[in-house]
Amino acid sequence: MKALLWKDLRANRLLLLIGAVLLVMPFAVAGGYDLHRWLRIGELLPLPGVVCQELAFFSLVASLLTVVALAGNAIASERVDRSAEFLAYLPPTRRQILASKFSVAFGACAAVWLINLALIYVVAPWLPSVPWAFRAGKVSELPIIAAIAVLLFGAAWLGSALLDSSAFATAIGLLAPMLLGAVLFCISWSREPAPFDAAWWFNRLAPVLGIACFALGTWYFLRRVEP
Amino acid sequence: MNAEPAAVAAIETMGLTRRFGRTLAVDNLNLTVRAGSVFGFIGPNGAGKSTTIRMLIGVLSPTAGRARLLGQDVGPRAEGLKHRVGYVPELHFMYRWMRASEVIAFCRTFYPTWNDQFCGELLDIFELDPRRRIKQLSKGMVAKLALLLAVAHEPELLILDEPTSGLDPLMREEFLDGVLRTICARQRTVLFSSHTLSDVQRLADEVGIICNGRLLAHCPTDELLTDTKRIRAVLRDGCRPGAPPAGTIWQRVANREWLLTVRGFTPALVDALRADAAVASVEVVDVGLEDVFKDMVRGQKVPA
Repeated sequence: MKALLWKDLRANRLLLLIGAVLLVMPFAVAGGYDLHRWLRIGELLPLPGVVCQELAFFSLVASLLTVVALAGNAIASERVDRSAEFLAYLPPTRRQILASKFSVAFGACAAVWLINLALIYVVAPWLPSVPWAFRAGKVSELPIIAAIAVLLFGAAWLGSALLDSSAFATAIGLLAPMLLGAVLFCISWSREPAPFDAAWWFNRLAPVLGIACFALGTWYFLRRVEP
Repeated sequence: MNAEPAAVAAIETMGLTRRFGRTLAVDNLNLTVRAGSVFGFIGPNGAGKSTTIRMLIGVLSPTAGRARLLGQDVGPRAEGLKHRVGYVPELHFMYRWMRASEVIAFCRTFYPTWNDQFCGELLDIFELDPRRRIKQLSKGMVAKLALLLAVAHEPELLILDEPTSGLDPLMREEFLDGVLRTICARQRTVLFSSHTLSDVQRLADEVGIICNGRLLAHCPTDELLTDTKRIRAVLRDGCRPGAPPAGTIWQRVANREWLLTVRGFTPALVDALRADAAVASVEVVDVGLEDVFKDMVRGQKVPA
């Protein structure tokens, strides 16, 4: 299993690097702005809790790209170069192969989320510069970002299990939330003036669909014979 | 009663069949390969060799029938079997970004019986540079690395699917030397398919000829070659040949020359032909494996 994990980490290292860049990018941009300000005016702004929270929120939104790319690349990438066939002849079971792929893809996504959630809920309140003032608006947006992330991951994972192209698998992942949003918007529009809370439904349907896609992709992968 | 103990079968297939839609790739294949033997599996392109091998190593499910390797049923639950079998495919799809040493280290972890010393010896013999990436290796080098990976865990059964296709004669020679070394190092069963019949004749104790998914012949190589002869008969003017003798696998009549390839040849067969009023003279010629194979396959296309 360790060898499989090493292989999957190596195979995905470019995406993991991009993920790390996206994770720190909002903070780097803010830091760059601060540095620029210090060079011009000569003063450094302390990082207030609310800014930390905003940056972590942007980082979470940016991490959606990491989520979809890692899930889309997880299985299909080994079919592009047919290394999946090489792996199929070796002793590891399909379950072990899948567990390793899932650990890398999900682990990286979970790490990005944990870091950002820790920044929002743990670090930001303890920043000494300003009193803790958590913005309610941002908090209410977190579930929808999480719902999108689950759907992106599940749909891209399914695409990756079915297809031989990481790009198409990633595209499926990206299209899934847009498609669900469009369908809910159309329902909402068709039912006017009767009230229909599309966002409420999106928040509930997206994770369910994401988990269903993930389960289907996993089932298909375990049954599939490479190539 | 001195009953000889039954030889243990390393490979057994019972009615093994595989369909791809309407195409019957392998048709009711019954094959037994003795443990410790070298079995050459030959057939024309699309005969069903690779499909059979893929079913044997468990990456393709049969439509009907079953296969047993080393006494164990092949199937999705026979994961332990992969530890006991080495496989060299026709095309190699190792991770191109890995170095040779990394592929070796990667595979090594999956086999408890991995022999580091043997692996090192093979690296030296094959003159493989472990620091080079797979994408930098030539086709022959990749084939040799694949052989190294297949044998370094000392498998009881080695399956080679056209391993020398596309290799130049020198590289092929080195590869076959590696195979021979492996066979000699420890008594193990080898099944290999190849289009280079001189290699098969050189290595195989037993040979199986498959065509259109059906097994045409399966016997010791020497027996096949001593048992099969080509008969060149010259016909008298204006005469047509009679019915071909039993065991004829292929025949051709061109002007006065009647060529026959007969399996199960006996001198009595020549006497019978000589006695035929239409036949002026008879000559018996030895044939190599390549000729036997060609005639068997041709005989399938044009009924004898």
